[in-house]
Amino acid sequence: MPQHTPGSPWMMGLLSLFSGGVLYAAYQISGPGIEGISSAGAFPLGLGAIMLVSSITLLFQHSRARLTAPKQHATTSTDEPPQPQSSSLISFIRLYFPLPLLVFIALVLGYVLVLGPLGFVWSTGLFLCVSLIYLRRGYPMSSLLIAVIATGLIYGVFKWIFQVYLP
Amino acid sequence: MPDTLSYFLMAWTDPSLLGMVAAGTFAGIYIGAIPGLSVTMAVSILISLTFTWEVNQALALMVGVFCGGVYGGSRTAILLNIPGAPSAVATAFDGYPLAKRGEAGQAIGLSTIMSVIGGLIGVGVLASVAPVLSEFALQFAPRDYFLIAILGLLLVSSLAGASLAKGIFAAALGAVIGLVGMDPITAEPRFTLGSMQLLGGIHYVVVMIGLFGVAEALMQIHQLKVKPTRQQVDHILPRWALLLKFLPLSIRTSLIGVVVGALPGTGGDIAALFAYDHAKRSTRNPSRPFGEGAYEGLVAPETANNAAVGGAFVPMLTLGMPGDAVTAVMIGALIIHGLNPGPMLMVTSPHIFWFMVGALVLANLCLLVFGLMGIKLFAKVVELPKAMLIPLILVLSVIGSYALNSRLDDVYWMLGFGLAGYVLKIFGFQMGPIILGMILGPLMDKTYRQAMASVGNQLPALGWDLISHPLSLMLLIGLLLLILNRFRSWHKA
Repeated sequence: MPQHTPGSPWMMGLLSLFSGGVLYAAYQISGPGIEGISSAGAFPLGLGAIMLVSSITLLFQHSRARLTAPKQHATTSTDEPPQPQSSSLISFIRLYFPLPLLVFIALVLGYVLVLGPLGFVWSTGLFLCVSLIYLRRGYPMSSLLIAVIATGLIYGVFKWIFQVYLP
Repeated sequence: MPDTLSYFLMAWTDPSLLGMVAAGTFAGIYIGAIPGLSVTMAVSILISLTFTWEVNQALALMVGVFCGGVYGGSRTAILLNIPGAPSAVATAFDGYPLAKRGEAGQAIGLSTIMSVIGGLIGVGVLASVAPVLSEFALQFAPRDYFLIAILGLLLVSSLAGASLAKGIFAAALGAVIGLVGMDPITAEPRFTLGSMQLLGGIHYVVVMIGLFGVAEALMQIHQLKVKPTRQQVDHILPRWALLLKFLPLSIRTSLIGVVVGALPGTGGDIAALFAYDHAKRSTRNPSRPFGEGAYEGLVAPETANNAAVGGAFVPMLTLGMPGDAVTAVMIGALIIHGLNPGPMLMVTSPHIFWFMVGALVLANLCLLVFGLMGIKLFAKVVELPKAMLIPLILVLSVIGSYALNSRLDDVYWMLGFGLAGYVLKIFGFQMGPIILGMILGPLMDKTYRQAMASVGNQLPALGWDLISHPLSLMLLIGLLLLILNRFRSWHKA
């Protein structure tokens, strides 16, 4: 029985849909007929089929795990109030996409978007400073100092030692 | 022979190469030790930063990082009970109890020397086996490569996590990502969704940085508040009698490490667990019960995971197949530098092989020096708060993905794969099979079609070819046995 993660049936369902899409895309490459046995789409078709079978297997396994979970609960602790549906999408989002993570993802997206207009040094300095203040829950002055030193070091090392193009 | 020796000594005699190996090993120890940074992540980023370098310099740095990183993971496993790398998981079983007993220094010293012994045995096997295997591999037909690639993917799928279905899905997904772009034989677009930009494919380094850099950084956000406890570190040099006592065990577990590391798709983490299990079963009177600070429980995984480094290079350099995720990334590095890992490498570029062997030996000696020095400073560096580490990983990942082609689109792809990798990780999917699938997928596609073309696109003829050639038959039997074994254990579970 697989380890039960909230939202697993949802995820496995999505992966099954995705695998179906891959299979369809592969079918469009190879086309029907036996001539396709060594065509450009033959191997992708096999991969799509493997993905679909394994994701449906996972969907089945996780749905079964979800069904057996409340039974175990009922037999072990009848006095406790019933737990919320652990596989619900909301529990999953609460557990795995907490606010700090969502804010950090937003900061990263913002960083990447301003990389072009602001250039590497300013955007990196800004990103490091804001994300350090947020993740460290304060310490603005030391965060600013760390951001400035880190940006300078990174710029120096990559520009002059590794000699790579920076955005 | 004189040529071989000069290639071998290249990294020893050229000051810049020597410096690269030493710097790589030193950096690798810290990268491997800091939870949240991984060797695969570092090597993935290094590829994009060093592709304009001379090939030997780039390889010297990566070999150093690889060796140092595998060892470095053990430091935090012993001091903080947090394995810095997957290969150090087994080290924590007895390493941390030793530290709690006030023997952290002794444990670090012993693990350093045992790592070096394991590493040198691994390189010794690589140097003696690879040339022979490479010559033998010249006789391999495309169908044999196809079978070996399936074997590798099946192995990594089944060993990389608890669920076989997840492993197989991840490997197939990786192979699909690897096939995105124009078909190299017919120029037909595959999985491009009508996008012109995708005709060139998705660069594997971009995917690797996303999966190993960004996804890992996002996972670390959940552990922002975890604070490690500090250990007292002194008496680092282990007693001579202790070393002699564990020498036979270290040789046995080194050999286990090389063999497991050489299997396509398996790496130091699995080698270390196998070796730990061997030590547990074969030691009648351990110094202490296993799990409570037995020296044997420290020696076995530490020798095995470093020996697995040499082992992992065997399939990479002789067959062009990665032994683990890091060698999968290093194959990418060799290809970027215009080299073709596989049996022809020994024919066309023997200097690369012997140079890498020499660099690996040198890296192990550097490990001995750096491993026994600066431990007090080390203890401070590994306590770097995650809140500082995570934004830095992100910046390095952005630089690494942009540096490849100077395109912001690659950065967007890298972030997309990072987010997808994070979600997949939550649901227990391993990143290793995806990367190996990416590397092996196009190879499997090519060899399958070559094998089919060689028999006039007739499936029965291919089947006859598989059973009428001894090597193919052996591989086919091995593959069937593995499938049978995997499905039986899956059914039992």
